[in-house]
Amino acid sequence: MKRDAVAPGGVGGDPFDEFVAARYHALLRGAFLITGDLHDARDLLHDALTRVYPKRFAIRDPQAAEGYVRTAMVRTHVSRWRRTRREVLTSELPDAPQDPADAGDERLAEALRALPKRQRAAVVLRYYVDLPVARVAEELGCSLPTAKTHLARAVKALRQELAGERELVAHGH
Amino acid sequence: MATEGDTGGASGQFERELVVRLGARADGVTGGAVPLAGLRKAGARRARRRAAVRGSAVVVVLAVGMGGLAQLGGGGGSETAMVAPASPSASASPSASPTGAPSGSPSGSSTGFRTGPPWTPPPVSDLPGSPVASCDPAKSDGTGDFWIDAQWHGSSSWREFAEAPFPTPGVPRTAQETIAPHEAAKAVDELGAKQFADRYLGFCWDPGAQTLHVKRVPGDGGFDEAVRAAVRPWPATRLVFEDAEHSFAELRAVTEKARADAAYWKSQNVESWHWRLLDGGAGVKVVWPGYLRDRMPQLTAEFKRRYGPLLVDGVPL
Repeated sequence: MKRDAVAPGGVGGDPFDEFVAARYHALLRGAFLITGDLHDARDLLHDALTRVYPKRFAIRDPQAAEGYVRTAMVRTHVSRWRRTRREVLTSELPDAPQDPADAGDERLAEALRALPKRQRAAVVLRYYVDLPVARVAEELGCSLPTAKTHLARAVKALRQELAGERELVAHGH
Repeated sequence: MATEGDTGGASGQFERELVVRLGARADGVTGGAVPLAGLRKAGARRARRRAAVRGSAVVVVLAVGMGGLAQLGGGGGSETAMVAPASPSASASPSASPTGAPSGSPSGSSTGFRTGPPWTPPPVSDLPGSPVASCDPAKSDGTGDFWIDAQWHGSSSWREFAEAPFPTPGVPRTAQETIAPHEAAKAVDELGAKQFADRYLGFCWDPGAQTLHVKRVPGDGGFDEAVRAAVRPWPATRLVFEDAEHSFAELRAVTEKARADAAYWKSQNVESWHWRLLDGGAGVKVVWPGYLRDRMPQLTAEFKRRYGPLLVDGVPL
């Protein structure tokens, strides 16, 4: 997302294709933080991209495409209808599993997983994507006070969850 | 970084720490190649599916709408709304004149094509398919509806109506596609409408008995002879003359007067109504749609006052 530089375009001439090629990995990282699982993240991102695809010509501002995809991603994720995984079929096999959870910060992963979906999405949008709270509310599809509440509760829960880790660290020294 | 609303102290420090840890965790994700072609195909599939669903939805909505209009009689007042209810009558009988004639051209050429049960059954249960409910006078309930609408200036004769492509999807295109009227009946109807409008009320064709019932105001003038001559090319057709009190042209004049006041009635929130022809051409009744039921007595009285003695009553639909 904002942390990633936009890669050069030139994919087939369709601006949306160029956007996907440039921002795919950034969006995938956000999706990974939201879902907590790389396969679910791919599923979520692909679903969001295919949702936006039919409407891509209606997106006048290319800079706004990422917002549309991210909103679709977040809302799909928190949708109560999304009880089961829906796969988007592609002609290419996915890469071998590369779960970054194996690489470390398992405590954060667990703490995030323990959060309700909306709160987790709010944390990712606010603290990873670095969106203002008003924009977080917009992408979540809720009011500003509700978004603030989600964030406050999520941060409180994360602090509590990660407090034990701090104490352990403190005692270790 | 997430600076909005940041507070100092432990809370702010935790949030800054959270930003760093989230970033570090996300940086561990390497997604490999972008499955662009697959995504493009999936997107195209979704677009096609959306288009198909939308198309289906439009078709269903149109079908339901048309069906509803046909059932309700299209009280809304639009041209389509009024044409739609005509179709069941038309499909039920070889004549569309009950629908088209009264609101059609004032020239008198749109004399109704009266049909009876042999051509029915009326697809709208409470709407007889024809002003003449039965070819058999003993079985006739003496009533029949035809449509008129303040806004409608559609087909003026059953012939035009029957031969024109039907405008409502999902409904048989023309009466003739369903049951072709006997050619003798067509000839008599045309003769009566064009040359004997002051005496001709209508006819009923009984295909089972191969009998053509012709209703006309009795008297001289050569109408009966002209009808016999018109039917002569079909010697197997039995001809029965029945007396009528008034010609269709006389009765239609009543409805035309009302239609001429369409703008006034619309201003009174009266946008549509039906006419019911009394058996034997004794007069017409106004058939009020449901939304006017409460105002029926006042409206009927006003219609009678304005449009004369041939308008004998007002009844609810």
